[in-house]
Amino acid sequence: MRLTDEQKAFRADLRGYLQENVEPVVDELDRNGPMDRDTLMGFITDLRELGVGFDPDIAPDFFGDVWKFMLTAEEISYVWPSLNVGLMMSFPSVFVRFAAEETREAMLPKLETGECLGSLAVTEPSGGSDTARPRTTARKDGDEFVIDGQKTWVGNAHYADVCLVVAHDESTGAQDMFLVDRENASFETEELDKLGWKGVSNAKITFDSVRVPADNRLSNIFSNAIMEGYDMNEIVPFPESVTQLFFEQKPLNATFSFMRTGMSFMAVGIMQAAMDEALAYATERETFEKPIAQHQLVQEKLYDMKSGLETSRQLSRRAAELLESGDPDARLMSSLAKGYTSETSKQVADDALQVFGAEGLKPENRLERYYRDARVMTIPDGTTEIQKLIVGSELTDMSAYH
Amino acid sequence: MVDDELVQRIEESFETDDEALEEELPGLLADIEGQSDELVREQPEIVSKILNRMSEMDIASFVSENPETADQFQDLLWSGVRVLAEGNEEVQQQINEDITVNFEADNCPMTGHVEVDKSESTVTGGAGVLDDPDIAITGPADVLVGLITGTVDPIQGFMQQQYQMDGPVQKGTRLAPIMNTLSEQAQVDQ
Ligand SMILES: Cc1cc2nc3c(=O)[nH]c(=O)nc-3n(C[C@H](O)[C@H](O)[C@H](O)COP(=O)(O)OP(=O)(O)OC[C@H]3O[C@@H](n4cnc5c(N)ncnc54)[C@H](O)[C@@H]3O)c2cc1C
Repeated sequence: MRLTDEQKAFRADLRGYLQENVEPVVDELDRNGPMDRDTLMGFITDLRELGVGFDPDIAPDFFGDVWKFMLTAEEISYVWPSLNVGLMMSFPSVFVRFAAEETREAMLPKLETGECLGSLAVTEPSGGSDTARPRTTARKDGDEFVIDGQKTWVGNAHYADVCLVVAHDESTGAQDMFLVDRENASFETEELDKLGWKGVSNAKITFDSVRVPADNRLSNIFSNAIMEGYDMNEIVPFPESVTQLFFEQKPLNATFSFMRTGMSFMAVGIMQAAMDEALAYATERETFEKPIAQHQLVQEKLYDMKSGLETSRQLSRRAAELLESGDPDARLMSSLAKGYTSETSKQVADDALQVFGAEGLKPENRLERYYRDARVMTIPDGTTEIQKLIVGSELTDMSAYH
Repeated sequence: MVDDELVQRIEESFETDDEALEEELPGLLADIEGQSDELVREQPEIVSKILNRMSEMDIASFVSENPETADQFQDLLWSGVRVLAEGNEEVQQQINEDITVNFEADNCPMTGHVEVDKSESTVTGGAGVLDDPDIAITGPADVLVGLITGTVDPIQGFMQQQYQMDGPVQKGTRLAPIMNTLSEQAQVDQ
């Protein structure tokens, strides 16, 4: 993998922005729990200036360039993983563009200025990892669907403008997704507290007879857009190779492959941050009259961290390459990468904290946050166990999870 | 001209229940063979009715038990599609590249194909498969028939994973509107 000059310039600008605007405030913001909407939107609108976002002007270049997307996940997570999650989980807002008229009227102006915040509601309190059989239902009633059920841990949901909800479509007996916009429909949310990723808001949602126009069903969104003559990769602004995977590997699976590869780069960002701090500390801190870096057991820790970081980075890049070329193994490799890098980030953050000794435990040093943020990585977007089952199923063509 | 007796027999068969219709169909379809195009042109409502009655049946078991009739059924189906495409301006506009597609049922031995031809502006199909098609569609027989008769929306059905599609995404997105318009037309004709 070799970045183009444009991609390098993009990364340099992004790094500059993050160092100048996020780095100085990250500790305090993260300590105060989930960002409020204005804070998150402030960063999102700034990032839009750099070419990061999901509105029709920006998305084709951002989403459409696998490397730009992945670089963004890594660089933002190096500074603040929670911000990366808040940003990335907003992607379902792309579907506003082809949604029902009332949703377009309410949300398109916001989307066009980058201010339409999205969320994706898959997980349910009762089902957890078993997402193939949603208990949330969508009942057809005239020109509308009526949604009932609960979702949980949904990023941004507490104050998102639109929420893409996975539900059982009673009219067809199949699983589908429904775009709920909050100007025309309302639902209750309850914010959840958690160990890491403190800065991003996750919430439980209750849908109590929430009505959405039939044209906000995702399959209608696609159908209507295609009938109007749009190409698949105008509707989901993924690169053509990924849209091709949409075709070959089911739409939701291709989306997961993309998101999981992003998560994998996120883990790399956290590891790089932990490693950089630990390395700097190891050469400064002295015990037994020499820098701790001169103790062999500390060097071993550095070796372990570096090997974890580099294998993770290579695996993430491999997953991104397969996505970029639309390779059938993209699903396998993105699950392998997400599973492996998440677990490895836990280990690397743990080693980095150990290098800091007691200082690593203090909230004013970042090791403690890296440790907590890394710990979360193995759960969202499919736990490590689920990634193992996906890899197993891809390798053997025999599923152990249905 | 399709003879009146045949038209009358077809109409009478609609009065019967599914089981009786299933018994009658092989003979009926055998008589239609060779005059499907005329039938479709002259009696479009009747053809729509046959196809719709058939799509309510258990297609997979019917095909397994009556493989030859299944081919005749497909001939009728594709005659319907061809004639509809000829007369529909919207479809004519949507045909802007060549597309070849194979259909294969995964629950019974039913195969079919369709060819969209840009220079002729035609949509033609039949039983059996083509060598090296652009797109291969697999799924349960009733879904495949539903795609043609209009009870399954091609894009929604794909998104909801009722069937699988292999081939370049761009060809698929060109095919879908054609199928959609044809099936909307078939529904109107009833
Ligand atoms: C910070 C955070 C952000 C999140 N963001 C979102 C979001 O934006 N949208 C959203 O929809 N969801 C989100 N989630 C939910 C997340 O996807 C789920 O937590 C995850 O899928 C696991 O479900 P669960 O927590 O209910 O665990 P469970 O499914 O209850 O699993 C419990 C344990 O059992 C294991 N297990 C379960 N099934 C199997 C099996 N078949 N074989 C082996 N082991 C198994 C699991 O690996 C786990 O160790 C988020 C979660 C977190 C923590």
